[in-house]
Amino acid sequence: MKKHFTMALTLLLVLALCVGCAAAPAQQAAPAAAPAEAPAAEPAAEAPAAEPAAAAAEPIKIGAILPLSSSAGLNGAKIRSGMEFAAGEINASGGLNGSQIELIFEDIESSNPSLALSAAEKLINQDKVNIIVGCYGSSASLAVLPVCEEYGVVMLEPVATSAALTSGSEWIFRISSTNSIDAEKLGAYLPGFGFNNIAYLPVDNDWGASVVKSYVPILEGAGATTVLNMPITIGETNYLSQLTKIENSGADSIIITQDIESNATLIRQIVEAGMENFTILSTSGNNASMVYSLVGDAAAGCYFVEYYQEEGMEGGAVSEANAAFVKAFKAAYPDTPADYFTVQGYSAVNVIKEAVAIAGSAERTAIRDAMREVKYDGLRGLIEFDEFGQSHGDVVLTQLQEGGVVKVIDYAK
Amino acid sequence: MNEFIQQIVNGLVIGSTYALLTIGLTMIYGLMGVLNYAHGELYMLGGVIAYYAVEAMGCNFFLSIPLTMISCMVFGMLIERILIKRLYKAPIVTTAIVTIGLSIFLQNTIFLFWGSMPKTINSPFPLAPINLAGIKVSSIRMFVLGVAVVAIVVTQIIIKKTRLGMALRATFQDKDVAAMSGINTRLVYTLTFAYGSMLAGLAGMLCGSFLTISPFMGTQQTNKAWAVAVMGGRGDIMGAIGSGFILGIVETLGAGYISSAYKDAFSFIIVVLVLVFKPNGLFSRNAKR
Repeated sequence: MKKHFTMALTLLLVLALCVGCAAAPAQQAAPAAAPAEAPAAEPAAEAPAAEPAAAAAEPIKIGAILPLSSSAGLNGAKIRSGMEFAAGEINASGGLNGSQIELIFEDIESSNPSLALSAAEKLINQDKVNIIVGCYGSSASLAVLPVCEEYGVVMLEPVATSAALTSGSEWIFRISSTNSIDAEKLGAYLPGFGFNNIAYLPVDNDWGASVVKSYVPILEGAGATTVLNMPITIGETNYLSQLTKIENSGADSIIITQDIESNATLIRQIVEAGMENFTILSTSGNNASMVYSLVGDAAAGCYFVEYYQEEGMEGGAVSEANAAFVKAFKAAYPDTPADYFTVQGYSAVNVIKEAVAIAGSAERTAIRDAMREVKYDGLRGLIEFDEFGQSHGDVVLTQLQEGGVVKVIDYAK
Repeated sequence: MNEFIQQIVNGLVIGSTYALLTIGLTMIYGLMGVLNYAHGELYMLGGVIAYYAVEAMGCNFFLSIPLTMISCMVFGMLIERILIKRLYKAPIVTTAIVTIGLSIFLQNTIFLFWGSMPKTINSPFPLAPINLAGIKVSSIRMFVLGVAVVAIVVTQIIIKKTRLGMALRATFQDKDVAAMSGINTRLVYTLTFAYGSMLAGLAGMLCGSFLTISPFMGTQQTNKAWAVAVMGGRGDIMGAIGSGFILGIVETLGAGYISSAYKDAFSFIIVVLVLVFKPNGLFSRNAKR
């Protein structure tokens, strides 16, 4: 028994070490055994049964590194649906240059950088993918980028917003905005909405750090004061201690950078702490409609930096292409919301389609060169890449109203 | 000063759910020698079952509490009968690996039909807090604290005053002698596992009514519960209760006054300190092993 106990303690200590030390990837501990489970994440459910006619052409393999479980997985799964929907459309209409698209998904849980690294190695060397879509989290993407450079594979980033990602590599192309673009577009007049003495509650990783780094100078330049910056560990669910501190710090507004689930919980707890008079902004694409579905009217009055005008937004303008997409997508995936994340998955596959069409081949370097010429008139504005591989799509400042109506405050093209 | 008291109150509420979750874990570990890494999944199931009862089937919030507890108890019983029962003679690491597997299986099974949205149980309480001389507590948190304390007291009474509790304590002290004195230790094992699962489910339901419910909510909590169990000492229920509250308060104060990025680290720093200085648990009488 004593031996057992010692063994148990050893196990625990190792566990404690994992969780205690790695403040950022806190989720690492228990799922340490999980990499084995990752491939079970249903590789390419849509994999076409290779039509005899098209059998001659090799399929074009798109590897996707996304969080499909954990709280970030809630949005990752929407990106997957968007990608599958786009691939289904393309394959049904005869494929790309006669080749069918094959999607291979790798799950990296809470956007865990170490899982992302092994997923990238697997996709590039074993599956021989032509291109990688990923990795959702800024930390994971920053970790994987050198691997993509080494093997010469393009990484198409669908959502990560750390400005550091598109700052020099020729193998990265990003269809999402960055925190510095957001801050430049919206930051200057945030004080006008009540963001004067600001407390930041970013997630404790590259994404959160990048938001603070981009927003602080611009907001301070516009006259706001930074009162507090409290990074929060991934996976945290109870924020009352941080909120109590903010309440007593003299701040009047909070800028939140958290995954959707934590973001919603935070807003709920702000109300629970009796801090209704605080002005709240959620950054980097967390959508008001989703937050409303989670916390209801408690979130009324909060501001959101969004990247996609959903159908039904007050004062928004949804294009015809967008309405058609939403209708078709809803028919295929009735349970998945057609929101920013779905759209990003859909756009990623379509951008690849354009690039392959321009290149005339799906060879890795040819795709990279073609990416520079892509002009994809998508669901959130024109996607074309600058010399850093960065695109400049829509950035929308919204405010959630009572009853779940989302009002477009500002719409920066 | 107000801020300090507010932080203590914040810590008490979260600490009560840690205590509730850990009682079961430490009972199962202490009595049965099972390292149950799937304990957090019963916590998750509590939240999920309560969500479906309240939000999908329109069940009354208060009625859903016993309903959730009974469901989790039955579920725990099934796990013990089908899986854990076969592993009593296996090395402790085997059991740990099996329960880790069970935990991954349960998480992903629930994820399959839960979909991509985190959800919350809407309690009948208003979200806005009650102000008690400058200390603000929402009514749902007060309710959670109340239910947790009642469950903890009832557990103590069962263990200290009933025949079942006596059988349990006897089995814990020496299962062979207990078996010889006519105690059905098999049944005690099953009931312990079921009872622990029930408390975990209750904790999950309570947390689900003021935090969010997702298939992965149990992972972090299992780690916390292990920290509490180690602090409290092996199989020490009083220790688990005390340590649960202590951990809740230390975490809250640490995040509020030192660094919120290291909130989770505090729990493990305490675990290491306890293991070094009081390896038998925070409340053990002698530290000698």
